[in-house]
Amino acid sequence: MMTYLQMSILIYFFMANGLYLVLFFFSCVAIIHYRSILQFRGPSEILKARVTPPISILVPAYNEEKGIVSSVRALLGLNYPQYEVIVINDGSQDNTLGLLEKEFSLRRTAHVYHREIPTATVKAIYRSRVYPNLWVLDKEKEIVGKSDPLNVGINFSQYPLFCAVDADSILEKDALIRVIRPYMDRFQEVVAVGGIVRVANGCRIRDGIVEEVGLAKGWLPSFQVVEYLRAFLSGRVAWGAWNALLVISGAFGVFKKQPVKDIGGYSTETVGEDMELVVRLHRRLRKQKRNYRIHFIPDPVCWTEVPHKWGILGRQRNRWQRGLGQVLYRNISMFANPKYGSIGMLAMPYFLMVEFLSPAVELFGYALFGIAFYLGAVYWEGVVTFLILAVWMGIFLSLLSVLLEEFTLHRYPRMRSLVKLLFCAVLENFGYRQMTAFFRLKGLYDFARKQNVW
Amino acid sequence: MSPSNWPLAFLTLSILVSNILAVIVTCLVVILVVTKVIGGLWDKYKKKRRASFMSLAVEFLRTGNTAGKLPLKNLGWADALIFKAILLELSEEASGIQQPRATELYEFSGIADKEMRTLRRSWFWWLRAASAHALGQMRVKRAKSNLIEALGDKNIEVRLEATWAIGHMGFVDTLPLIMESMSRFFKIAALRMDAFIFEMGAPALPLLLDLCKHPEWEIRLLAIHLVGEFKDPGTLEVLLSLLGSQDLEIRIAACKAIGSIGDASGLSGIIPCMEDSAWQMRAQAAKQFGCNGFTPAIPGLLKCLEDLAWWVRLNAGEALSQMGKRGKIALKKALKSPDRFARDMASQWLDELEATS
Repeated sequence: MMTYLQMSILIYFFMANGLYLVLFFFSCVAIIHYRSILQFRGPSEILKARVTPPISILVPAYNEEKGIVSSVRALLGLNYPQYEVIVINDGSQDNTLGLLEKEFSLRRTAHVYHREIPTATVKAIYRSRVYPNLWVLDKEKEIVGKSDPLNVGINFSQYPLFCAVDADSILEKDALIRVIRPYMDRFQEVVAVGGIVRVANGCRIRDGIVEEVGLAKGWLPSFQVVEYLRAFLSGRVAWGAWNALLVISGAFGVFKKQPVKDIGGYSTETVGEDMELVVRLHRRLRKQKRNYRIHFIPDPVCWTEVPHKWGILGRQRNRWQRGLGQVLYRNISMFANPKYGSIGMLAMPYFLMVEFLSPAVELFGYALFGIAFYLGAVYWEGVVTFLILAVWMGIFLSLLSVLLEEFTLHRYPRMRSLVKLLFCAVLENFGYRQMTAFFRLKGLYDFARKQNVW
Repeated sequence: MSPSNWPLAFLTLSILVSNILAVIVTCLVVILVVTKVIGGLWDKYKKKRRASFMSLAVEFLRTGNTAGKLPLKNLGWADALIFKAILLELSEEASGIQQPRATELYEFSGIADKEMRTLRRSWFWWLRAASAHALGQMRVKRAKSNLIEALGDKNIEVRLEATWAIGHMGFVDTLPLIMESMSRFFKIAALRMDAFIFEMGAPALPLLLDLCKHPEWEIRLLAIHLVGEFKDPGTLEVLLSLLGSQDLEIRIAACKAIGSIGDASGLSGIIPCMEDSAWQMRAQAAKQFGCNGFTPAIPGLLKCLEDLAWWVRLNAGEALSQMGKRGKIALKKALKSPDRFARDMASQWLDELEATS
């Protein structure tokens, strides 16, 4: 019995790591291709063009008085020909609305709210006297989460594309210009575009603008930098290239409004609303046999603060895991279903077997070792060899992501940062990965118990 | 766990893979260090050579002294790379006599021939695209046939760069070819062509009007958009005839183009569009009236305020709010409308007007 279990774990290990390597290879190709294209498409050309589609930026805000003013100011300073910023105050109990009113001299308008997607009641609509492209919608808080405010924003927005961003995230000045490129290529086909999200901890930020990129002093945020590089650069880029991207981060993504409206907007019944929306889009469009694309661009940068304490990190990973579980459960009929093409045959099995179940398998592996040790049946040579292999593999994959970043995007200009990232790529395998696996396992357990709290 | 449970093959394989990984990781770190060092050395070399090339090139552009350009013939690949960057930079600022001199220098140094060869033969699309761009920017007219050939390249970036290069040199006769090669990429094609269509000027217009009747839908769409950009009232007859198209996209594009021309006779022609069967068309027509402040459309816009489609009502309200005093009076009139939607929209736009006045 033990032998079979061990062999299963080994097969799983090789399968998962093999997949990571395949993803990395395709990501490499896609990033190099993307970098090559950038040489020929300058931002100024898109800025001047009259055919550049306008974008509505949706910012759900709940108790964000600390940073909302600087975030909105930064959004109002983006480089883009035509856009509007719609802040949706989701029943904040702090002074979020008051601050916005004061700082941007908002006035209450008689605008009519057109509820195409069902949402909570919108109490008032404000517009800035100083910035005519800034709108603030004050709504009742009836449902926990970002879905409802985002749906309010979609209903209210006037442009054909919308960009969902977190109130505490920072968009780079040229982020929209860069993320719009796939729409400029094939507007009819492209339905959504995701952009890379990076870690803001340790960067010098002033008035909502990242002035200098760096790493935080603590190790925890730095480990997450490596983790984000691995997830975005060697994961999502490849899935995007295969038109099988299942997640566009809620912190930054640009969607075509009509297809999202057609499927009823964001779901309010899941904690992973960003992934749920993308999967539902795939599902609907593949069912309709539509020729469509969901892209991922490795460059347009959105900076976000990541947890710097284990407790907060634990809650975040727990939520992500539950969200993933809910999405997979709701769309289980797509699993290994050839009708859904690369989504059904590749992405769904990968997310279920690798992303969703990996913490259980990993920790089960450790438990198995513990049991064997207790029974006195440990074959040390085998265990040590396997552990060494696992660690080398982990280091190798993380290092590849760091090097890919360094050779292609090169966002960390200081040598010190690069050296620290290289160290993180090694050290994260001793403690950090195990802890995140534990948090995700807890998420898996909570998902099984249907714990649907944020 | 007994040793027999662990196949020897696995043990051997694990050790082997671990060793391979260790070697690869070490190699990767070494590659990183080496590239950093080489990058630093290249920067130093570039800086040094750039200074000397720059002075030679600037001197030649200023005086046209033939002796000054002699050291620039048959440069090695590294120097050619540096010199090409300098020439591209200088040609952006060059004007008058300096422009043909920059082209002369480009030809003399042999870079033009190399670029044409790259455009024809390179396996890598980014090199072909860069060559097309450089040939266009340096206005190497003898590269026309190569650039036309590049319009059929399988890579869109190469086609885009070739398009730009041809446009930059003003070869009007190539317009139909360009349109055919790029029409599927409407936005990016329109963007790239917007930029140079004016450089081609009036001679391009008859060709574009012909293309408005092209059998391919996408080419018609692109041509209508570009005709609109010219803002020439002489094109209205063709554009108005397209309003009767069965294709909604074509009707919308024609309506937009007429709106961007802004001539009263054209705008009168789109008044019936406010009764089109498609709401997108009604909304578009209302928008164009607003953008041009076209008051004869007010009665139609008041009707649109009662439209079942929200976007039509919104655009009609906005259009009225852009029509000054007469629009405001119409909005006030709509406040008394028996239709609730019309009243709501009127009050929204009156409020907006008051806030901005």
